[in-house]
Amino acid sequence: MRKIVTFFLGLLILALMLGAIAGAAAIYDAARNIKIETYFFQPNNLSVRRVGVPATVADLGADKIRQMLVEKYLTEYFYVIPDVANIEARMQSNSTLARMSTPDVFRQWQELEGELILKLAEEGAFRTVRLVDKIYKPVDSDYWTVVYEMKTWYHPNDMAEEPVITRDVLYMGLGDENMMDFRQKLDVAKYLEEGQDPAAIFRFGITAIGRQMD
Amino acid sequence: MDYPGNFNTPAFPAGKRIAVSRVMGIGILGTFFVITCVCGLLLWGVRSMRLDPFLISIDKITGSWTVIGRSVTLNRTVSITETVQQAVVGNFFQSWFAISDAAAENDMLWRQCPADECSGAETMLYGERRCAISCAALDTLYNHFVEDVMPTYHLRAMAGETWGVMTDTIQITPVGGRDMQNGGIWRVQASVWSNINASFDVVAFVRVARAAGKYPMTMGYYVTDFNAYRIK
Repeated sequence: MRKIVTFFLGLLILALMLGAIAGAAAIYDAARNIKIETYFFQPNNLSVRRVGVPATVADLGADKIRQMLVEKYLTEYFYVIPDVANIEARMQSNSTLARMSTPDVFRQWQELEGELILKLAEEGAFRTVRLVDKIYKPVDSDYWTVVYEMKTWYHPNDMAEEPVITRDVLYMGLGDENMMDFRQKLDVAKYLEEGQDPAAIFRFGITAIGRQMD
Repeated sequence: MDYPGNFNTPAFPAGKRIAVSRVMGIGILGTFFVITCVCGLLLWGVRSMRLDPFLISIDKITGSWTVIGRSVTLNRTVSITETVQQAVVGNFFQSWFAISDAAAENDMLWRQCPADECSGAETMLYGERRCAISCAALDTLYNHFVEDVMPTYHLRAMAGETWGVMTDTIQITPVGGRDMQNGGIWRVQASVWSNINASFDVVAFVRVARAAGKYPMTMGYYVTDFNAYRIK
């Protein structure tokens, strides 16, 4: 009888040991699953211009992120480098611009701007885009007012050429309710490691775009 | 006691069981101690977490967003082929924006050499700039240089102007594609000094292609297109 009791006691101790190991393993697993905010912005990749410190999405805040995404969108919308393949890639349905637009807006861009900047690229032009000021949404409007400036160089290798500077206003409808989140069903780490554009991971999109009619 | 008939009589009959219990007790204690240590180690390991963030850089000129600092996963370790291309691009950029006050030096730099001379020992000497543009460029690009760029350079040289690239300002970055084994487009940004006008910043897009065996000194890499703009 005593031997049986000892045997079961041993068995109980063994089970306790296994339980302790399983518990420790569970703690380890839980620790590994901790979510760390690992998406930082660095102002510039040139060491001499690293004036700030990396900032997370949460640090930057909704207003700044919206501003950055709109500026990124504008860049994708208008910029030109003397590389036709670059423009053709942007006109594809899996491009950053397409991911950040509704299908209608993207189609509108393809028809209005896409062909134009393709022609510019073929002629060797170069164009940069920047936001002039902070974007804003008037109280009685559903659309954001975006003032931007473009600099266009039409003649490559002409060091006497001054760029043509144009300023204009766009009115944008933004799908930005959940823009601080990343897109659902998207493996962000894998997506970024594949070298895809980081701007397209946010739940952010342009739902309408227009200019003021003269 | 049946002495001396039976010597195998235990002095203390319960001794064996007590010994077994002691061994078991010490063993269990030891095991639990080891488990406690392992748990501590686990906690220590968990606390020393390794961060591996994505760092996004936004280019001020082109506005592009790029993941930087993930050398392993993003294949951004600079390979030999990329290094050679950067050398081709950097040297070509310096040759393109060089105007000397010595006319003979300009002529030597801007003249065209036959293909066999480009890989000749005399042309390829270290620091030798003879035919540097024609030897590294596609014929159509060299023709563009001769027809559209060289006349203005001649005018500047005649007016006593000299140009040179500030080498410590050169930044060369790939544009677009990740596979640069057979060439691609590189963006070069640098400042060019002028002895008459103020120095100015230039951004150039340089397309590099590869013709194995044709340009032995650069592993076949040569420049097929060059578009530069004075940005300020």
